Amino acid sequence: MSNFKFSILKYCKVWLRLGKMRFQEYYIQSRLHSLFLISGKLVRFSFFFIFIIALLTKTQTLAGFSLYQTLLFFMTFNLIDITSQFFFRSAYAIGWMINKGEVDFILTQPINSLFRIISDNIDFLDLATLAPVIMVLGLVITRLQTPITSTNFILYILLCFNALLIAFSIHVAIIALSILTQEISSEIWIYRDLMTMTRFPIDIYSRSIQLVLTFLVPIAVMVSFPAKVLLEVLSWQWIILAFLIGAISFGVSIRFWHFALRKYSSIST
Amino acid sequence: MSIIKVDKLTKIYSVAQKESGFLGTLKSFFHRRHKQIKAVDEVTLEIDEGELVGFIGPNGAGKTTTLKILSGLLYPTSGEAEVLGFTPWQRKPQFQKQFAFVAGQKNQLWWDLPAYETFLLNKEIYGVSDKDFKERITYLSRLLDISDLLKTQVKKLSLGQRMKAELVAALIHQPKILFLDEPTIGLDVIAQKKMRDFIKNYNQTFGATIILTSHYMGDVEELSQRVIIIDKGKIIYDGQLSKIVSKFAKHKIISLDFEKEISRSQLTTFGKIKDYDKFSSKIEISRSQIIDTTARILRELPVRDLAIEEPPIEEIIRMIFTKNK
Amino acid sequence: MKKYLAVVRITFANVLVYRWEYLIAQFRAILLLITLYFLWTQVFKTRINLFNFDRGQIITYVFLATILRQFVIISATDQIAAELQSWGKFFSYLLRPIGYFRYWFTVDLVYKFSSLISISLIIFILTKILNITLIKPSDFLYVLLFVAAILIAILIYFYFNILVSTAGFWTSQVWGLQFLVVLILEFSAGAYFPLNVLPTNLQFFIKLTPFPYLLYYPISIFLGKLSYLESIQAILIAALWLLVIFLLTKFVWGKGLKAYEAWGG
Repeated sequence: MSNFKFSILKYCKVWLRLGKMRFQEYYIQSRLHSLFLISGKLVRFSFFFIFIIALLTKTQTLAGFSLYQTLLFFMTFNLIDITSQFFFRSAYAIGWMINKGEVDFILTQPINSLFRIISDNIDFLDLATLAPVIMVLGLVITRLQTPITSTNFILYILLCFNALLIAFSIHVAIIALSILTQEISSEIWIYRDLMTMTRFPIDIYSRSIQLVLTFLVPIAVMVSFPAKVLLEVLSWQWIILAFLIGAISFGVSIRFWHFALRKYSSIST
Repeated sequence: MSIIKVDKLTKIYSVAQKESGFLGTLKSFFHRRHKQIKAVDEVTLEIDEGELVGFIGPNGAGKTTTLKILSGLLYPTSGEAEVLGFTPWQRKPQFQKQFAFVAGQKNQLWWDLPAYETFLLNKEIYGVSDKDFKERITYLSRLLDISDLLKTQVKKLSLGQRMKAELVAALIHQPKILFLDEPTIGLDVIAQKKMRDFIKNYNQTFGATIILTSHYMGDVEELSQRVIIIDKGKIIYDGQLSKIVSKFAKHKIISLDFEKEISRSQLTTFGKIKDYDKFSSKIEISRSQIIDTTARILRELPVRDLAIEEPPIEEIIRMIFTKNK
Repeated sequence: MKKYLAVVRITFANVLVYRWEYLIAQFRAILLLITLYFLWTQVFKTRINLFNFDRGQIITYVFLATILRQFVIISATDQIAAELQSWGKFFSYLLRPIGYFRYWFTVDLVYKFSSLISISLIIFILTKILNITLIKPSDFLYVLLFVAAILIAILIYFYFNILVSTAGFWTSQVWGLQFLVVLILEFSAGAYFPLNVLPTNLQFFIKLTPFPYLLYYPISIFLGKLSYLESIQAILIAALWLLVIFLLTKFVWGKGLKAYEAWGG
């Protein structure tokens, strides 16, 4: 048992060290550059925020949701999007990692290779965009007209963690795909853009699209479901299904990762 | 006590002719064209603790592939290997903590940061204690003469300094086995010498088993007592460096200095002329005839000085490879 | 003339090699289109008119914005900042037998037209499948005015993007700045939603910038939201902006080049 606790400590230390080193890198390279990136994200956020307010001030509701309810969907989207990018950003750089031979090197080290690869690109500056998002999210929740029960709030948090689990699975699948094909995959951007479809409640989309976004690429489960649970419009069957989808995607992606690693170790020259 | 045991290790690559892009990858799922390449062919060897072994061979001979299998990076097609009692490709952490892999061309040091930062990362990954870490960094950096360069950005170091720092990074956890893949490639002559001295020193001081691959004869001549020659995946020779000469070289070379001018034609009867100017010459003579021929030369020519040399190892090995084609 | 054709040929070959990446870029634009289409369809389920748009007009706006975004706001000049990173190589680029800006404009046109054709094709198929009818301009004069507005828009973005790239003369990490600028530009150009949606004071400030002339005004002309006079006015103001940006870019480029030359030594 103490061995396990010891491992967790070690992995936390390695994670923090990697984050610290990346932060030093960014700091050395260009502080202005980081500032531009943060500003860009805040600009995008603000414009959509203003858009939603301007739209709903006129229309009162969107797919049956009030202004603050719609904002809840939007803020949940931002929360999940930013947090999953913070933890799993390395999926965007995996192609370069393979080319430079870093993956080979990682495989010889006494640390879980998936963990090491996924933790390769931690940007603490993401927290600078996360902080205002959480504040605004809190504000939006307090302004909701529907009463928030503690059960719903706990379920909301749990479904957000479930969302991170699904995000993890998607990023692992993309990393595994890159290792399998040994090519830089730009498909990660398709995932990112699919994610942005959940800026608004998925009820605006047609039935078929909603099904795709729930079962094929479960981004609806990641964003819309937590928001709906908080608003108490999600039946318990869907809640169970959400966690099931989370568990299944996790299992499938890890399986896929091991498969890709085996293939890589058999054919890499 | 053998620390590495390899038995009939074979690695066959099935290289598919790949097309680029997603459609191409899709197409290759349905009909693939394959080429079989035997990178490692029934390699069998044993290495004892503390040995310094050099793998030499031309590019593509299978040196790097063998090293990759022994470090657990690659699965073999068939055969067995046991390193430190472990099967390498199971990648058990207890195994990985005991060796280090350094590739000459690839770096593990982060470019924009001081080398010291990467040292700290490895410290966490390998679980090195604070005390050991400090001691080893101080010792190694002093030995390699880079103590004041540890806090300098890696990108500002010269290639030689960078390689030294790479070595330190690899040795923080005091590995029992060191795999060095082309460690002196791209270095200037002085840096090469320093690297070789360090490797020899480390092997003697810490008793670490060192296996290096190289296609520089200088590396092998200076470092390894034991040499394994690999070509086309097969081991051609495994033994003492000095014995290569007697096993493969069919000739010796006589170096002559004359008191009077001697013409070329006077020398051709003795053997193959390798070098000639009016007062000196080098002649290649087959081993079996060396005594008779030397006696003849001394009788018939005005020799002032004579020396009998072995052909350069470089030449011998080159000859082995061309014969193997 | 021959050298321009050579550039065209090479650029087009490049487009074909990276066709998968280009298709992905179009696919991403379509995803945004789908989001906006359903959003507005939902909004107009219970309304006939909003922000001075009816359902047909807003849907057409969204489709047109998607197509034009891939035409006007796509530029090969993104690569200039990358070229500036290799100090020695950059001067060899300057020595190309074509003027530097002319070279990039030629490459730009190839990229833009490849993009335009592929996105238009995809959207044409989409509208047929989903049975969506788009509004057409009420008469031919509007079409001409629209085309004129778009041509000026292309040039504005071309020079503006070069202006942003000049940051590469002074710093090595330009894409952060590009990221921020392009975002502000896209929103202000009405790429995501027509500017009418925004509160009036915000609209006022945005309309003081050249960006609405990239998408918002041309599309408004297309949809007949501006009278002939207003359309011509918009085109003239756009032309004025083009002049300003052109002169500014030339000026900053010259300054940057001098600083860059000095730095390399």
